This record gives sequence, C-alpha cells and structure tokens, in this order.
Amino acid sequence: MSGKAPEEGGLERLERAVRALLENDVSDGGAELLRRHEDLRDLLEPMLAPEREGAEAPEALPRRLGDFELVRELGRGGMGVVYEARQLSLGRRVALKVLGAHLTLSAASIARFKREALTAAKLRHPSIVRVLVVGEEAGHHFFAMELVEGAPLDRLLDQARERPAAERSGAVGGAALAPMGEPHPFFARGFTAVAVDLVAQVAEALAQAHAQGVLHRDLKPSNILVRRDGTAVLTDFGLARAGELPSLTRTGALGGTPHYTAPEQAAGATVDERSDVFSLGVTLYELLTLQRPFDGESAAAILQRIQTLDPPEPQKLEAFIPTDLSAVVMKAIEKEPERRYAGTAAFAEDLRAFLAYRPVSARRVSGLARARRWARREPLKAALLGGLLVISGGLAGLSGYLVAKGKEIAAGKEQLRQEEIDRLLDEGFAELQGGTPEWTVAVFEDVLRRAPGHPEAVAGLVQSFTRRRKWDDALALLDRHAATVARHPGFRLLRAECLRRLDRGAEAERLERDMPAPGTAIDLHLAGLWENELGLLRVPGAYERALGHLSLAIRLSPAPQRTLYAAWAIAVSHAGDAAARRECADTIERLWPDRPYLWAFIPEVLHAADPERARSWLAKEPSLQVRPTAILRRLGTAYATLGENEAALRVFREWLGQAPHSGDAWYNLGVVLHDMGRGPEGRDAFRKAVELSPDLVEAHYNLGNSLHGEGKHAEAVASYREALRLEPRFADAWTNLGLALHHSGDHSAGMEALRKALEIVPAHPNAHWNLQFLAYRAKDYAATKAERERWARLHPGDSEAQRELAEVLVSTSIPESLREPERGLELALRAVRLARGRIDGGLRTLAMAQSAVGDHESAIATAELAYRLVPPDDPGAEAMKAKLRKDLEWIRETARSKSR
Amino acid sequence: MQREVSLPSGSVLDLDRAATTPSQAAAAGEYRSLIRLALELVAPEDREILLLRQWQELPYEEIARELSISPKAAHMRFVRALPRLVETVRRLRVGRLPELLREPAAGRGAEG
Repeated sequence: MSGKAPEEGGLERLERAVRALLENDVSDGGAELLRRHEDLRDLLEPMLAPEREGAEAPEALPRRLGDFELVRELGRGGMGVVYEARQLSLGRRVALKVLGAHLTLSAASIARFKREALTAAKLRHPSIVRVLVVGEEAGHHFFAMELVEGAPLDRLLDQARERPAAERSGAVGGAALAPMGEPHPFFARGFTAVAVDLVAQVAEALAQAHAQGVLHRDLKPSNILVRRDGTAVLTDFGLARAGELPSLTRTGALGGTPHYTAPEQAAGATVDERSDVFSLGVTLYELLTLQRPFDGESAAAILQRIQTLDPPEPQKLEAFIPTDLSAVVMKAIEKEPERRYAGTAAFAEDLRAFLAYRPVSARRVSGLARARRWARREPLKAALLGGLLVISGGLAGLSGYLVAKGKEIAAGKEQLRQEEIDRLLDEGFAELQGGTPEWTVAVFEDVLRRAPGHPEAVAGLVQSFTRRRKWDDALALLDRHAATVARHPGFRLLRAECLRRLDRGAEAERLERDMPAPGTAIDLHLAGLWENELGLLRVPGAYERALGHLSLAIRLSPAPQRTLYAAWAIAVSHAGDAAARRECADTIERLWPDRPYLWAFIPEVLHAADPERARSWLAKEPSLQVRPTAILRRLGTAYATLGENEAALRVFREWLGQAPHSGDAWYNLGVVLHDMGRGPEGRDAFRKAVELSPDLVEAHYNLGNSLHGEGKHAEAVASYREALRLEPRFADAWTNLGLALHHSGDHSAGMEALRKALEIVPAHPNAHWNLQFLAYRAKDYAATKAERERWARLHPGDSEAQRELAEVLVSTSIPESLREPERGLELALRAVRLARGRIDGGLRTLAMAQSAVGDHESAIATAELAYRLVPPDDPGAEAMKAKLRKDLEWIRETARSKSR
Repeated sequence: MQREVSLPSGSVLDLDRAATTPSQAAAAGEYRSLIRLALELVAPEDREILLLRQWQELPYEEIARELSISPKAAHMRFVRALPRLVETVRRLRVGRLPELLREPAAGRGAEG
C-alpha cells in the first residue's frame, strides 16, 4: 500500500471527488473546482475531461467537415452524434448531425440517414427543427440543422424529478437548480399548464407533418427540445417514414427507446398517425406524473407492458391533475388505435380546450369497459405468451413500482427508496415461495445494494440458497454479512441450522445454547421467516413457532410491513386455527386488497375456515392481469385445497407455460393430477420434477408415493431414500420408506425406518400406527405393546391412545406373559371417561377388559350398552353391531367356561 | 513477484469494512452508497481498475504487473474509467437505475 493518507482511504477520496464534481458548478470547465480541491486533482481532472472536450469526440473525426467547423458535442442518438458547429460561409451557428462511424459502412444506414434529412427538410413548422444542408465529406455523412437554444425534454424531466413536489405543482418555482445555475424557464410557470402547452405544440407540429405523409415514429422526450421561451421543437425524424419508402424501416428492429412505442408498433402491425398520438400521450403522462406509464427492466418487458398493462390514470398518481386532463391522457394511450384520437390534430384540440377551460371530448372509461377491453385483448396476449411471458415472473412488481413512483411525488425520495425496497422484498419473497429461488438472488442483492445490510434481504438471500439446500453457500453468505448477522440474533437460528446440516452439530448447539429469545419486531420477524423455512423442510412444530413469533412481531411492528404479513399468512395457512385464519384474511383484505402478492394468500389461508369467502377471492383470479408464477402457485394451491382440481390444473399449466423448467411447477401439477385420480400422469409429472430439480425433496417423496401406489416398492424405496438423503428429518418419508421396505420384503429395515420417523416426530400418527401394526403382523407382540405404551404415555388425555393400549393388555391373541388385565381395565375405563360420551371403540374394549378380569356380568352389560348405543344412521353401524354380537357371544362363552 | 490481489469476484458490496470516522460517514453517506452501486454497474474492466487503484490503492506499476499491461496503459484505463463512473453516479442520483440495469454495463457503450 502506498500514497495513502492515514486518515482517508482511496474510496473516501473518490467519494469526495465525485461529490465535489456533482454538487458544484463546472461551467467554467472546473477551474474553480480544481482550485478549491487541489488535493483531488488527480481524480477531478480525468472526471472533468468530458466537460472540457465534449464527450469523447471520436478521434477519427476531423475538426472540420466541409463548410462546417465542429465546436462541441451536443448529444448522441441511435444514428449519430450531434455537434454544435459553425457554418463558415454564412458565419452562423448550426447543429450538425454526423452519421456514427460504425454505421457509415452500411448502405442501408446511410440511406436511412439521408432519408431522415430529406424527410425533415420537407417539413416547415416553427416546432419542427429545420434542416439546412445535407452533405458528405471525407466519408462522413452529415446534415446541418438550425441550432436550438434549449434543453431536451428528458433532461428537464430528470431535473423535475429532483425537485420537491411543492415547487412543481405550485405556480412559480424559483429555486436555483444546481449544478445548472439559473433554472430553465420551464419551471417558472404552472407545471401542468406548461406541460400541456408543450405537448399541444408538438401535436400541432406533428399534425402538419402527418398531413404531408410523414410519421415521426420515434417520439420521446429526448426528441423534443424546449427553448428558453417555452416553445417546443421536434427533432430526430430518425425513424420517420416517408410514404414512398415503406420497406426500409419496416424490416429493421425497433430503433428507439421502447417506453414510448405504440402497442401496434411493438406488435409489428401497421403504424399510422395514431401511433404518434400514443407516443405523445405517453410523453404527456410522464410529464404530468414524472413516471412512465409502461416500464420494465428490459425492452421486451416494456413492450409487453405496453401491450397488456392498463396504467393507472394520471390523476390517481397525482391528485392535482384535473379529471378532464387525466381522461385526455388516457384516451391518447388507449391500446387500440381506433379508441385514440383520430390524429394529433384532434389530440391538440382537446389539449387546447383543456387549457382554455372548455370541455374536452375524452371521457373516462369505466372499470367494466376496461375489463371488456382486456378480454378482447386476450388473443394478442396469448400470441405473445410463448415469446415474452417467460420473463414476466421477474418483473411482476411493475404495478407496485408505479405506485412507488407515485409516492415519490407525495413523500419524497426516502419514501420512494423504502417503497422500492419493499416492492423488491415482496417480489423476492413471493418468488421464493413461487418455486424459483434462483431468480430471487438478484432481487435480494438489489435490495442490499440500495440498503446495505438490510436484514430481511440478507435473510431472503440466505433462504434462496437453503431452499436449494446449498448449506455451504448459505453459511458463506452469513459470514459475508457478519455485521448484520451480529446485530440480529434471529440469524443464529439460521446459522445453527446450516452448521447442523454440514455435520457441525456441536457448533450449532453451542450457538443455540446462548441464543437470546427474539425480542424486537425485526428479530421476531427473522425468527418467524426462518421457522417458516424449517416448516417447509418438515421440521416438526416449526410453523407453530413461526406463527407465534410472527403474531408477536406484528403486534410490536410500528407499521404494517408487507413481507411480515406475507410470512404470517404462510404460517397461518399451515398452523393457524379458524380464528387466526379469519384474522389474517381480514387484515390482508383491509390493508392490501389490490396487491395480488398479498391477497393471493387469502384463499389458501381461508380454505378450511371459510371456503365460501375463499372462493369469492378466487373469483378474482381470471381477471388478474399481471400473473407472476409466485401468484399462480398460491392461487393454484388454493384451488386444489378447495377441491377445485380443474381450476388448479389450469393455473398450474399456466405456471408451466411461463416456467417450463420449474421443478416446483411440475411437482404441483403432479399433486393435482394425483388427487384427480390420474395417478400415472401424476407420477410422470413427479418424475419430470425431480429431473428438473433434483433437490426437490417433496417431488422425490411424492414420486415414491406414486410408485408405492403402483406396487413398485423397490423403486419407491429408492425415491424415498433420495428424499431422505436431501432431507434427513423428513418424517413422512421415513414412514413411507418403512412401509415400502416392509412390502419389498425387508421387515426389519422397515421397522428401523419407522422408528426413525418416530424419533424425529414422536407423535407421528402414521409412523406409530404402521410400526405397531407391522410388528403385530410379524407377531412381534412385544414391539406392538411397547409402541402402544409409548403412544399412550405421549397422549395421556387421548381416549383412543388409552383404549389402544388397554386392548393389547387384555387381548387373548397376545402371549400370556405380555398381558396385564387389571391395568387394561383401568385404562379402558379411563378411555371411556375421556371419550366423554362419544361412542367409539371404548365400550367394546371395556367389555373385553371386564371379561379379562373375570367380571363377566359387567362385561355383558357393557357390551349390550355398546350395542344399543350404536348410532343407527352411522354407515358402519351394521358392521359394528355384528362385531358386538360376536363379542357378546364370546364373553358369554368365556363366562360359561370359567364358571364351569 | 506475483502478488495476490483479493478482488471480490462478483460484488463490491462488502467494502463497508473500510473504516470511516462518524462525521465522514454522515456527510458522505449518500455518495458512498451511490458510488458502491455505480461500481457494481460499470463495465468489469472499469470496476477492476477503479478498485485496484482506489480500494487496493496500488501504484500504477503494480497494477500494470497485475494486469500485464504497461503502467501508462493502466493510467490511461483509470483516467477513462473515472468519467464513466461519475456519469453512472449522476444518473443514479436522478433515479435512472432501471435504465442502467438494462444496459449491459455502464460506460461500455460510449467506447463502442
């Protein structure tokens, strides 16, 4: 290490330099800045280089092109670079657009470039930039335009975004804009009126261009220059198509920014002047709300939104936008061209009417009409499904993003940042649930970039790895975020689990020994998140503990936090009682009725407590427009739990359409098929699932069950073993492995597996039942008795557990040495008392016990009572009566033989 | 003569281990996170040189050996990377992260 001041690191210097540069006026080329920050000269000079020289002027370009002397670079577009230049012969300043060097070689781009020049040269309008000269010099193609003293609208939008809302909505904004110096006059009048006037000017200019057969086709804020007197100038007819030259740009890929592209343009359909209306409408939308109606993280995603998403009305985002104006904007950005203004002239007319306080022609569209239109658009969406929807999973939070943007205006940047982080967390945790943990890593990392050390994001990130059982990676992550982990004891749970999985049990125990109980909202939240995760890993009692932690976290939490409530909903849907389920559903319904990520939990949460209400929420499913896989999973599962298998099948198939390689999707499909009695199809789906996601424990387990059901016990054993290799604490798999082993002839290994299940979950009913039953079948009565003893001890208040043990203690079919009639009688009496009047097997066992101790009279009375009490409408009544008749006979016979 | 340089492979987020005094931290807080994010977003070549120079604080001679280029080229690379970093920070400040994320890596286009 060298050249380092002791108190300041290199990164701190870098920070200081960037800050100095961005917060100060450098219009003097940075001379003043350098004077004040002499110590940062080595960093500031290179940083200032572009300001001084005009950004990276291509070296190959001469300083002079024919009659023109280049002064500085003004900007760059898709086709080339625009310079300020001096026309030597006339001594005037012009803007010179030079075709980019990389495009010069292509004849097509040269043709297109020339066409732009010629197209623009045909147009004469004060709001369309005038083309003065077209030329070529030493292989460089260029044309000269009038030099507009003003700023491109996109830059003004950026500045507007930086200004507080109060200044924007008010009539006068006077504050100086650093580092621009004096504010652009754009800000000096009422913002709304200026914006509308500006767009009206452009619309009028376009109307004239359209009349001459010229479409702009690439309208966007960066192509609209605003002069200091507030007039607009339209530039860059780069994609423009003169009527006679249709083929050249038709074939080309979309050249411009996709945000402003009309739906028909995106779909590759015919474009006309109404397409320009759309683009201009989007521009007005952005001007008024400072947000783009259609946004996304890739061009494809944006284009998809443009074709499918109904953006919120501007008024919803900015209360100060008048209803009429909101309607005008919405009419301009209608999906179907015939619903828009017939042309920019009509659009301009309505804008002028608004400015003059006259009624506008646009009317708001009702919700119903919107729904109808959505239904009509369906085919287009279907056509796109194959190509574009795959990405939608990752972008699903768009509507949330827009809402977040809306809040920026209301509450400033911190709020926006928070909202954006919350949105990302929503998305991340939903996706984690949605069965694609791989996709979530980037989301959580994005949160951590915005909010380093954010505990929920760290938790989510770690879970992205534990979900795929990558314990090493998870542990490494916890180490990487050591500071966060140290601050929140809740992480220790996670850490301990990772250690245990990596055969470092001793360390895990040490860690857990001195772990404080979670006490703060965030710790409880983390603990709950993690217990949920353990629940998914089938750790007994985990969901119950999660529910406890999360309910408490909610009570302690200062504000309703979506991820917390989502985690709560998961815990409730696994471990909640009816009251908790209702409370959970009510809360989500009250707080986030419009947020599919949240309300998608409701049907699942409610399925047992209130199936009717669960169904009424599911009724919203078909009209849901944004359909990320996480939501499809929730809703499909809810359909399935409500027994609506056809609907579940449909939803899961849609999920598969979006994510054909998702093991989770195949797995869920398999479960539904299995429930529908389509076993072999289910089995194949499970096979596909384990093929695609070999770490999907559930899929291995269910594949085992399918094979088991088909009598392929050896194959089933292999599947269960694979599930258990991945998840050694999966008690259900141990249980079924036990059965499969037994059926494939290995009784003792089967017993061993069942014991293992009971070791993990001592109260596992199936494991218990099978263990004692298989032991009985194998005539291992001691084992049967021991298991029933254990069970009765474990369930001292359970009538059936006591009865079971009593039965074996008095049964004549087990060896004398194991029988304990007196104790059996006592237990049988207890079982009957515990049954509180329910007539189950208790009375029958009591009769047998009474008989076993020689109290034949009581035994006969009990059996007769049991006979009379058999409910007549019970489907098993006749069988029960027959058994009791045989019992009575046997008791009487025994009594007779004993008395003899 | 080969020296081990432990450049974080994928991420530079862990730089918060670098010590700062509280007052510095408060003033530079916003820029710190912006620069960190910007470092994630610039082209890998830019990130590499910026980190070697400003985080590892290596002299150009050493960077040159590390990257098997001449010290002059190392300096040139650093000088070119700086304005691109500033531009990225500038765009981040005006909320254009989504746009930056769409681009393959900030700054690469300008060279193209």
